[in-house]
Amino acid sequence: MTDTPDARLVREVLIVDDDAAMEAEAVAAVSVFPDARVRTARTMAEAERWIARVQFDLAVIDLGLPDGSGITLIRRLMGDALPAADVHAIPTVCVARTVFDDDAHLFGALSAGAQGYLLKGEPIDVVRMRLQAAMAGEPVVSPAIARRVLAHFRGEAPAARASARPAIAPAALTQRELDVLRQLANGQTLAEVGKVLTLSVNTVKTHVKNVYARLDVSSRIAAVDTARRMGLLEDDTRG
Amino acid sequence: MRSSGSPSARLLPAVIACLVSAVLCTWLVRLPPWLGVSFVHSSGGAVLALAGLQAGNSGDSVRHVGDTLIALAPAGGTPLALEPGDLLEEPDFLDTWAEEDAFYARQDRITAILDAPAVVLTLRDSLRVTRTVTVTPRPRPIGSLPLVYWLQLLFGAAGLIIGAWVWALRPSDWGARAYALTGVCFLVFAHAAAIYSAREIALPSELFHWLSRINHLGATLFGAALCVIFLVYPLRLVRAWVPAALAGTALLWWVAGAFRLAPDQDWGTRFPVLLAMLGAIGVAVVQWFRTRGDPAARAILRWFAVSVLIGCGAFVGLTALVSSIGGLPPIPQGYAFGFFVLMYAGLAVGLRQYRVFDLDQWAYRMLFWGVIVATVVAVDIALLNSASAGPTRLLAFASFLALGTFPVRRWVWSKLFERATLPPEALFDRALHVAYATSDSERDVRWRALLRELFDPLHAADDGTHVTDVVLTTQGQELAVPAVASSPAIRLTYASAGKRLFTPADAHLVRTLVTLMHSAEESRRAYENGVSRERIRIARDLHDTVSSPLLAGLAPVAADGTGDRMAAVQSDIRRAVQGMRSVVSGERVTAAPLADCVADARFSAVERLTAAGLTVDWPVFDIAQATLSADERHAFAVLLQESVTNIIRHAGAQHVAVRIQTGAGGLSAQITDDGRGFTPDPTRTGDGLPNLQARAATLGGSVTIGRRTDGASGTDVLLTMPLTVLT
Repeated sequence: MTDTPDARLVREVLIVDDDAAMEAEAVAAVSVFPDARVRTARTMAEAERWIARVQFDLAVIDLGLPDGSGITLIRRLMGDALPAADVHAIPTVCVARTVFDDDAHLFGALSAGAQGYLLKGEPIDVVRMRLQAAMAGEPVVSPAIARRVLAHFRGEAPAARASARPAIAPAALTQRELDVLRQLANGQTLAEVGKVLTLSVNTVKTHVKNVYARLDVSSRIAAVDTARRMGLLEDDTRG
Repeated sequence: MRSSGSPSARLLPAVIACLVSAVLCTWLVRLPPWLGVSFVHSSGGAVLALAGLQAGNSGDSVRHVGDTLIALAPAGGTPLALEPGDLLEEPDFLDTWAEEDAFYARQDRITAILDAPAVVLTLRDSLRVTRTVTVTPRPRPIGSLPLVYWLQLLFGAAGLIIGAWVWALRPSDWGARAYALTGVCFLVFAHAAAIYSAREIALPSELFHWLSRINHLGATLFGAALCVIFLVYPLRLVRAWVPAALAGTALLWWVAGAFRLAPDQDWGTRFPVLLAMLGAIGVAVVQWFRTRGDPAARAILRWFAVSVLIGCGAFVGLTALVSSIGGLPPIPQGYAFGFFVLMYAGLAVGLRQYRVFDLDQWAYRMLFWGVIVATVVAVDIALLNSASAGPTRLLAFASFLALGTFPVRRWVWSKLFERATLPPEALFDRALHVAYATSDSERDVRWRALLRELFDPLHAADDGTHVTDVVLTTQGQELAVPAVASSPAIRLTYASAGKRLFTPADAHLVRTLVTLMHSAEESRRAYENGVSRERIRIARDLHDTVSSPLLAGLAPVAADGTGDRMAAVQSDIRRAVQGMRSVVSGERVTAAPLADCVADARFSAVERLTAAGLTVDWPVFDIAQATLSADERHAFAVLLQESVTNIIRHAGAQHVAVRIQTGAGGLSAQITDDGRGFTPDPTRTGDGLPNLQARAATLGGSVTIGRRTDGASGTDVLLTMPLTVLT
């Protein structure tokens, strides 16, 4: 898998947020993509109707929706919505939007397949920057997320331990992936990791994205489990 | 089946004694030569009706059934006319010593005839035709012994085993000792009587007389022991010498009777037994008054006294009393001994209901075991005596009895004595169900319901005495349960709707339950405490981090009265949102490894500085194993955040160097830039650097801000904090 920087035109954008002001802010931010046609939804149900009709390039999804979790929506966009036969379909780039930036929230979104996140209340130029980064395939990284991912693959996370149903055992990490995650966990940036491991930044990013892709998305059940254990599927957990 | 080693070891000799005694009796009863006749008492009184003449002695036994045996004679000798009195079951029924002497003399004469090689029987049939039959006396086969003989052996054995059983479990209890003594005495007089009552016609007078004396000894001591029981149980009424004196008196009286120092049978044998019975009743009445106010003791006494009175009273009424007024008992004495067994059976039943002698149903295992052992051995002896089967088959049959009946015994045991109880996990569930009820009153209701379900007491009342442990009181009528689960102490009365008493097992069950409840309650309380502490924490943190910037944003005029009001409000709101994030993530209250804090700070600093076009020198060293408390963590993060913000906004720097060091002095973080230098700004508020200095001071550390010490242009920020390094 390689990046497709700037190559992808953003034509169809879905913004899901139940708050009018936040919606307006997102619409303003998305204007960074000149060709974008924006559809908005206030609820899961509304969003689902759009998803059934339109092939989106980008979806900006609030995690706390009145009728469910944005995580579910992300998961639908990443897998369910696509007809299996449609091999040409390019998966929608999902960006989670949340008030909280702690690693538990981000990890849940990443597990579901989100490729970026927006923090509510950030200045609009920062939001635009993050959207562009997501479209350019920049993975979301932080030492806290790297630690959590490492713990997840070590089976130390509460996620993998006390589950009645044996969660699909996460595929083991390759040595390279492990190195990358450890460097990130130490507080190094993607560029620094590349320098230390003598890899290109793009290769480092690819490793990170491969790891994220394996977090649990191979199994919907396991992913839901993971999210629930992270406390992200409770209705009162508003993102 | 053994409940413990030593009580079984005490019971075993009693079982063996029963068997030895039975073997001895059977040997003695078979000593006199046997003619092979059996009798029914004719209503005419003067004749002996022949019930049967054993085949082998005469070619035609059936023909003689119903005939009357008039006389016996040794072959070629003088016949001796028989009298109904010769078959008297029990010489005690004779009133005077002279009558007794005459009886024994006739027994001797008959014995002498039976010792002859052949005996001539003179028979008369219903048509009054007389004829003679010659029979050869021979050893008596076991099968010819009458049912009443075996019953007497069995009754005696039952008395001894039940008595010994109680004693085996309560060896130092005087009541139990006296009770066991009655068992011994009962066996003695019942077995002695069994021998002479089962004789064919006669025993040698020497043997007969001694058996009779032994019978009297047993009966007299039995009566004394009965008195002793009520003297010491349920309440001890007298000093220790009284029972001893009583036993001594009984022995002397027996000597007087046995050696005819007393005027007649009444004085020699009947009066002492009657007197002992009356004495026992009298003492029981005294006990009745003395146990007033002690319902448990009274319950025991009532049950015990009724058992004894029915058992002994029926026997005495039927035999001793009837014969002392000159009659013959309506049923053979051997059967009447069964009344004594009622007394022992009554005790066995009372044990379960009233915990007589403090024994409970667990004690039945012991008795059960003893009875099974005795039965199996007795059956084996009987089988070995029988000549009809080969030894191999016998062994197989005996093994079958011992082993094959085991499931049956188990089943009988469980049906009789075991109650359904909750399995431990169900118990745990119930305890949780009670402990996690949502309100105090609901917990109280559930706890009472659980107790009701477990014990079905007649009555459950709040207990004012504040017991602190589960207590079994009034010998099991009540069970006091300590306060638990928002309920006060509760006193349960009469288990199973009054059908049984509370047992130590019940107390143990409740104790387990109370322990479970306490730990469940503790967990619940800890959880509730945690929730409320967390709520307080969130409230305080929200006040500190969210409301103050929001209030600042609301203020009509900015604090410094200048600048872009809109931008200031936005900045205030952002600070509030950020504060909210830190509150929710718990980073303000959670300790974290130092290495993680450093990694987080480094990543964010490098990302921000790099994005602002600066170069960063922050080497990644191994960080000491240490933990930062929530406050330390916050101070550390804010220091770096604020330093980076200052550098980006104000320093005009190109390059930043950060050094984190840990050592004996604690943690130090140094941030150096190459900008234009630092000018402290006293008007800044919030979580700025000056604020941080105060914060670091409270942690025992310091923050110093100043020009670079190496003389180059730029600012140097140094944070130091004490640190506990884990090696």
